[in-house]
Amino acid sequence: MQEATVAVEVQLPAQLREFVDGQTVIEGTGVTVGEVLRDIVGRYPALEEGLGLKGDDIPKYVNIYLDDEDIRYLDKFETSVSNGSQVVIMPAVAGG
Amino acid sequence: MTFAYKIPECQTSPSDFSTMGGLSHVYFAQTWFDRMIAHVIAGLPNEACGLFAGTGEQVETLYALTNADPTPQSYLVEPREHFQAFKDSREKGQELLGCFHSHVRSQAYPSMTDVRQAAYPDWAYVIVSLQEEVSVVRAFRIVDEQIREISILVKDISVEDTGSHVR
Repeated sequence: MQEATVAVEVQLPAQLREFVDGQTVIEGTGVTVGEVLRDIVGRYPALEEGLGLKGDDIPKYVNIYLDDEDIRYLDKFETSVSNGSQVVIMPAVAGG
Repeated sequence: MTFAYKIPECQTSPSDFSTMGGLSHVYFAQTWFDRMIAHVIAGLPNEACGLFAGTGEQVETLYALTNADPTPQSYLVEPREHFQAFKDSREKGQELLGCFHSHVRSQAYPSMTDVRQAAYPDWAYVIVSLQEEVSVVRAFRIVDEQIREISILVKDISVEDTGSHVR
């Protein structure tokens, strides 16, 4: 049975808000985290570069959490979302 | 145990922040400051790192965290610990104000890597240089690859010493 598309709340960090008209929380729809993000990027194309999203890999310096779990430790972009899920995007804290 | 350190006088005028907004100072309780220094020394020979949270410009919680990219020239705050600190600070009614890391062999000034990877323009980036016997500590804002030093003030006040480690 095909999973249903749901609407999911995505929290963005301050430095990405310029790409989404200043919004801090934005809604995306899809069956998986990847679909939700593609939905948002479809409406705000500049966000793709802001997030560093290219291909199927999660960018090294971006952490994406679904309901408090890092999707790297779930099914990555194929992680299923459900009604009421919350996605949080947090750039890594790194340097040298 | 406390360690010797010095905080050079900040060379940035507060007016330099007129177009940047956000933090122009960061205040630490002595307890948190000492813990930060102890954490980066414990991380030798590699860089060490952590986060701090609070309200306004006052640090109220320090998170001494794991360096997930442990070398003498790199750090990466362990992502799950980063998220735990984010949640913990929110539950306390605080917000993450900044991060700290050590420079093992260089001065307390943002490296090119620090600047390129600075993802939080509102944060204070505290750098502890361990290249000399006495640690040198400075803080910066990094906005659009522009570096501005901000003042660090250490206050001898008591703090509730809880939740400083989330790992």
